[in-house]
Amino acid sequence: MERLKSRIDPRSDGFVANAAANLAGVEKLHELLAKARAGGGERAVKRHVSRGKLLPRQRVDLLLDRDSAFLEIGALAGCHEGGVVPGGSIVAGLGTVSGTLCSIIASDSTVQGGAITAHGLKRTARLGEIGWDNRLAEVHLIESAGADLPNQAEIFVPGGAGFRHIAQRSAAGLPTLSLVFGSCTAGGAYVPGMSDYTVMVADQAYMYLAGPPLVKMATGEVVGDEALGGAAMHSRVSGVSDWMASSEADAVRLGRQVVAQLGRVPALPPTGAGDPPLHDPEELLGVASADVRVPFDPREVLARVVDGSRFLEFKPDYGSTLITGWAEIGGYRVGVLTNQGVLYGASAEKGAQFIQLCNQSRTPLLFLQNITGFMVGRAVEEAGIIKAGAKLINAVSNSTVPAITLMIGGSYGAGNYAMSGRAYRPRFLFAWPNHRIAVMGPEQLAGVLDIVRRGAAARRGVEVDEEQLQTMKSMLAGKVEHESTAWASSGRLWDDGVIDPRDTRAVLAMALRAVHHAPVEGAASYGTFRH
Amino acid sequence: MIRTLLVANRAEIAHRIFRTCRALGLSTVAVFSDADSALPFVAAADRAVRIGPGPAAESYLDPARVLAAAERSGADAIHPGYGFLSENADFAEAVVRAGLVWVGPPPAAIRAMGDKAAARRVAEDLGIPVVPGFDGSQDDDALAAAAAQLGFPVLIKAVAGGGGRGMRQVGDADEFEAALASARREARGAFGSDDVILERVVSQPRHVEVQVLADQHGAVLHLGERDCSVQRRHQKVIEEAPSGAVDPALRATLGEAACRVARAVGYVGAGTVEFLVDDVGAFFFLEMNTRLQVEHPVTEQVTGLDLVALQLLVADGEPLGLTQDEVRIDGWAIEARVVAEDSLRDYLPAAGSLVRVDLPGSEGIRVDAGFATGDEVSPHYDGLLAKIIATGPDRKTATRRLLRAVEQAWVPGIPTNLPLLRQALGHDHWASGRVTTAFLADAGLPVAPLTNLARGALAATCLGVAQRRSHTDAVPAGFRLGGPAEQADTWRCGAEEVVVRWTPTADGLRAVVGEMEHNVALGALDGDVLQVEVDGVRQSWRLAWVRARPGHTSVDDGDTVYAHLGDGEAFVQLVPRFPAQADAVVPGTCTAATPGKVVWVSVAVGDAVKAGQLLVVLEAMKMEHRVTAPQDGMVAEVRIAPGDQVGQGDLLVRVADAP
Repeated sequence: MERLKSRIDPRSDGFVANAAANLAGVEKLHELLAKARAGGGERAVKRHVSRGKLLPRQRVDLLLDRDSAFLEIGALAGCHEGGVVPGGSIVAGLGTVSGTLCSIIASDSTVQGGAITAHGLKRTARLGEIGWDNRLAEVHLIESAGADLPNQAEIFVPGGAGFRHIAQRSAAGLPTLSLVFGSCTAGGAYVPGMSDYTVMVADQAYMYLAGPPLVKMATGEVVGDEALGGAAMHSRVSGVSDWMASSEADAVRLGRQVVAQLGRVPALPPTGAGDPPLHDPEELLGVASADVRVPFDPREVLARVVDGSRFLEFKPDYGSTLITGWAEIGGYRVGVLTNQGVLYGASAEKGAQFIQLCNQSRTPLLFLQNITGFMVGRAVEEAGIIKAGAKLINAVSNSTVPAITLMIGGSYGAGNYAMSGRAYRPRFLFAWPNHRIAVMGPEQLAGVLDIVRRGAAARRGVEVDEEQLQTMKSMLAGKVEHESTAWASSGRLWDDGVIDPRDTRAVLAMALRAVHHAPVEGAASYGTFRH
Repeated sequence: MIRTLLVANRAEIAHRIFRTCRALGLSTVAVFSDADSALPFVAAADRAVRIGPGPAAESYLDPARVLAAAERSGADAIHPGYGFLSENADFAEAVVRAGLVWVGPPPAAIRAMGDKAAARRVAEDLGIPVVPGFDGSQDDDALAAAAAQLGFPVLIKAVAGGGGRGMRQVGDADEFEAALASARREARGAFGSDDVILERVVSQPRHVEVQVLADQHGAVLHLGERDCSVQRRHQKVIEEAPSGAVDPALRATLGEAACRVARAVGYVGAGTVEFLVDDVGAFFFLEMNTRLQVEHPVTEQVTGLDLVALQLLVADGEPLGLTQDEVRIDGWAIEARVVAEDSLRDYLPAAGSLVRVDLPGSEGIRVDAGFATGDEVSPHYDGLLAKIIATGPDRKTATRRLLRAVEQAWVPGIPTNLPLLRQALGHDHWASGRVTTAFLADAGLPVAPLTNLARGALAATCLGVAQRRSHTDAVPAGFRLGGPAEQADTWRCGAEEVVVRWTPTADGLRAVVGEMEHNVALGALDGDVLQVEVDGVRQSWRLAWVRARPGHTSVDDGDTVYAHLGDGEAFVQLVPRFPAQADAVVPGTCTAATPGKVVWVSVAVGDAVKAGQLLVVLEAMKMEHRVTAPQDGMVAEVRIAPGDQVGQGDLLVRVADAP
């Protein structure tokens, strides 16, 4: 296979400027992740630790195999809102337990006592989706005060889906484990209640539909925590719990043993471990344009991500604003689609053909998005660019091989859809810090506003208030600029996480490992293609 | 003419003899016991015959079985090696009677020299000095009186002895009775005879032995001497040729004396006449070994002769074709015996599985080994694993080569004397050349080698990282979005533990071991060998990994890693992250420490007992194991009766607090 060559000059002004700006983006990412790791703050953490309890990340680390990777999903959930600890008061991601890749969700009881928040709920649901699509075992590490009551309106109705999810998982042969470390009240009790396997920590875990105060209020019965829903009662009397663990570590040990006996054979790379790229991944910071309006060659990205920098480009001389071709990442084969400029009719049709080929050969897809949209204008409309775009969207929509999308720059307009944006349900979607996403760029939006306003004024025969129009335009541009950052996108869970560009290979290899836990099947049929 | 040679022996010496046979174009036959069926010497022979179970008495020491094997395999000659049947005159006779060639001296010569007392008289008759001693009455009191007359310290030696067995040095009269009983017991067990002789202990003695060769045509010559002064418990550890204590004049005198002894008994073949040489150059005849010696290679190295080939030549009736003048001693050779034993625990023999046998050769190094990686060392036989022989133009060069070879040698899995060999060869006393039989004691050897816990733990951590890196290359260890998670592994060696905190780096890892921080660049892991650069220093480590449970693809909980770090060894065990659930031990329970048979039960339910009181006697491996009360109280339960067979850990008796 061809080796990708690099043409960049690491001493050029552009490279240096990109590297500086992207590094600042990575620092911002680290700041936000540090905030998430700090949980409910020093005092809450101290209080938690003083009770002899492990912190949620310590529990996860202990659950994971020695030096297993842990790929957090939605780590920045809620980060775009002021005053919110990023992460939705849970720790959630993928990691290896007893040799089996699992999705893992741990409550962070240092944040509002581990209360279930709207962001946490969305994040849990997203992880559930990943677990479902990729057929992963799911492990809950629970210690939760229950619903975030002041915000109950945002939680109550969607919250119910979690229990349905666990029941459907069980029916589909996807095991769910709950390790209960603290109290688990009312709705919360149904997570372990619905799980296939439940472990409770003695003298520390409690489960009941209503705690002692509520029971007293409702029926007058006076009963203590331990008798009402302690680990001993549930393990020996009610049978709600399957094992009683003597300590937190013991609960984790039991959880690991349960996962070990599930017999879920880990999916190893079909072609081996994969050799590293020939070009230095460190240079990705200088390759990616910090300003999404400045185009860059995505082959320079591939040269720093894929195994041995090997890439077999498909149709290199046709529809060249969409680059397609095959590569391997960590030994996993992928079919890559990535942008070099706006989509034309030819590039869209090439993309549709390539997706069909990957479905035929059961090759997972990797979209690297840096797209401002489809070309506009009379010539392309006459050539039927809508037909061509429809073909690509048809192929993306009906493709059944797993797709992974990585945002390496802009993502605007219908380009987002055609390149397997969030609405097209790629198995994973990650973004670099320089990523911008919106229906269109802030300048374009302001320009459209300008045209519309002037047209309206002209129809009414009045003068345009230039000062007012300028203010409106800059306000709109500012608002859109703010809403279209990677941070805002990730905070809303439009993506699964912002990643350091230098970690791209590791993250994609993890994601590819996950997707191979479900059978990779090609599409049998597509919608009607308009020719 | 000998066509097919059966070697009635095992391990390294069988290999050694087969090697010469191959060179001479002879077919080879091995005999092996059930315990040895997987050893390499069996596969090295053209044919191999199973001759019985592990215990030597039922296999290698049984003349009938060996002869039957010769018949079944069509062998026309038998080489006995050393030990086992090599000095058994009856067996030699039976071999000859069976029409086979006996590669050894005539039975009469074996008999003449086999009786230590008779051998002394032969030497005395020839006017060769012997150590003052007593070879008269076997009556205990007469022996005690003779000992007092000779003066303490005195040496008790089994008449039929060899290899240091049945030998005791007695410091004063009070110890004599017990030492005599113990020597007799050991001699009876090993040789079937408990007759002993006494010898005065020579001051600052060196053990010097002369290799002799005789053919059937009357030629007798000597191949110079070997110095075997480095001994532990009267067993040789390091041997060299020539001896630093022997000048050409003394060599000629000793050689002539040795040849006279050989002639006197009509000796044919290879034999060794042992002398003690004291600090002023006086010498005393000790005994003659009528076989090939373990340490024969040092003589081969300095004379350029193949002793096994010469044995076969003589056995075939050919003349030696060599004169005394043609025998030249050239250079210096030193042999180190690598033995499975715990040198620090009173040289306790060790048995078990050899995780690795790595005995690298190089310029001037000869390795005669009997074991390879994965072999089992059986408790039935002596623990000699291999001999490493270094040759050089002078003693200093040979020493340097041998020291490097034993430093590079790596035989992890069971205790060996490699640490002792390294200490001895690196010791000033050895370098000075003034080495007597008291060398190890005088030098205070062996000492416990450094455990190297910290370095072993670092090496084992690196092995785990290297193993995992090879199959999860694209996803670094401990990957997290915000940078790698620090890993903490706890390693144990004996009672000591150390934590290695580490994070992966682009080319390896950064590790904190105890207080020390190290940057390690990992090179390729090629088999056992891991190339590393620790804080800028390149090294090559050999690492063997033993899984606690099957299924792991990299080092995990409970696994053991053995490390050869270039300048030291270590082994460490990865402490499980989750402590095993301790079995609930009911206080007062007595369990069987070993599988065995119950021979005696002294208590019944309801009996009052005192802590330490004998409750049960088990018999296992012909040894009695006493089970005593763990506490004062009353016997609450007795689960066994005399005659019962019990497994390890079985509950025998439970003692409850008295009501």
